[in-house]
Amino acid sequence: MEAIKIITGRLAPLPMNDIDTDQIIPARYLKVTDKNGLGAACFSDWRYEADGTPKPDFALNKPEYQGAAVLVGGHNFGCGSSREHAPWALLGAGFKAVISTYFADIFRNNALKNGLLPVVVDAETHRQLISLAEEDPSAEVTVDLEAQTVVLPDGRHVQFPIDAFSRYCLLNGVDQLGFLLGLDEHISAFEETHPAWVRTTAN
Amino acid sequence: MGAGMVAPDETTFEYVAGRPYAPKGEAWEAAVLAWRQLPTDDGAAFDNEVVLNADELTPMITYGTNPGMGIPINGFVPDPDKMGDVSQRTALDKALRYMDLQPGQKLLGKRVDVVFLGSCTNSRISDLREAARFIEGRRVADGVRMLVVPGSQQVKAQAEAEGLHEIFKAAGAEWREAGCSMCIAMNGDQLQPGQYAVSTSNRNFEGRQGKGGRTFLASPLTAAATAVNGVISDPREMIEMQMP
Repeated sequence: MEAIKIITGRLAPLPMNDIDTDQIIPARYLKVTDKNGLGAACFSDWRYEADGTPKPDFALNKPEYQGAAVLVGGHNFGCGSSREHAPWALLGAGFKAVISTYFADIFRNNALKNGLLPVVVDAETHRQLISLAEEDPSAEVTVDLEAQTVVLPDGRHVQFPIDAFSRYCLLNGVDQLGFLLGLDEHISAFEETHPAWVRTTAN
Repeated sequence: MGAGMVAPDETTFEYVAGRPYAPKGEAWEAAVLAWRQLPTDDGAAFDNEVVLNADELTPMITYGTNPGMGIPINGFVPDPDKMGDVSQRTALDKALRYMDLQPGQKLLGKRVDVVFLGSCTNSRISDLREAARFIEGRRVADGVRMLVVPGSQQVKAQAEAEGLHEIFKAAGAEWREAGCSMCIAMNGDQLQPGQYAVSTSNRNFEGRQGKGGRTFLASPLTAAATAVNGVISDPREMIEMQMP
């Protein structure tokens, strides 16, 4: 997993609420064994006509939002089915962070564990970011994970919350397993001095 | 929405006893003893108390593109113009356009193409028994495809031991292997664009059952009644309710 410290980039607006994981990545694309390559199918049913041609009025198809690093989604972003492919697809589509007023819990956790930064801001900041993205697509924001701030073009710093463990993992580019493996020596030393756990399964 | 924790009771113990992976013999006795130590403390304070009265509940059905967009089966599709909140109005408007439904429309009598009785959430043995009892002696309507997909291999085996599969097949439904099937539509079990389904699964997002497919979430009994009539139907109008 790539370490995240500072993300600077343009915004792409997708202001509708309750964007569910079936839109982020439809289920028929889940038959993969590699998390790479899902970017092309991200928001597939909203992005493409039945014959595969891009819908010109969908925000992510507009030329001015190509290469945007930060997606600004509506409230309750990532609701619906538990699906790790959702952050994989968003990462594959080039996003490094998603900003919303609220993230569905499972999506938020999946994002954090896969190096996609979910940034929760207040409703007023969210409105400003949507306006900014729509009125000046070239405007850049900076998301500073270390400082836990979003820096707007006018210089305003907006704080965002993140739990200390997730922040540590993202800053260091390790996932939970990587974190544990880093403690292998300590775990082995502990296990050597303690009896095995009692069996907790049947039979 | 949220999760609740409830102390296990006799019904719980009875359900778990003898199941695969459940403790057996002395281990079972020890486990039940331990579980009995889990009641709510006397005088416990709660953040919120919710009283649910199922007696007043009518069969529910969804009209939109998330599970929260539901109404009583004899109700009417809500009107976006009557929504105070702008984002709710936008969401409802978008959902109705996707579903090709009109505000104020009744769902009862709406023609469907597919009835999906399946998914881990609503294809338990109790669901299949209920639906089979309803459908016995009746026929799936012409032009309707009904898939019956047991919620697990265990459910499938139990249902077949009770002969439920023969009832469904005799009615013209497809009796399928246990699996996700049209709940997630990753295999070939998919709606065609524009088709309507009554589904006992718990997800009705855009394209969930196939790109462009339109889902009404409902109970197994509503699904069975709809399959028989070919249009969305209230099972209460078709049976003397004799629930277990």
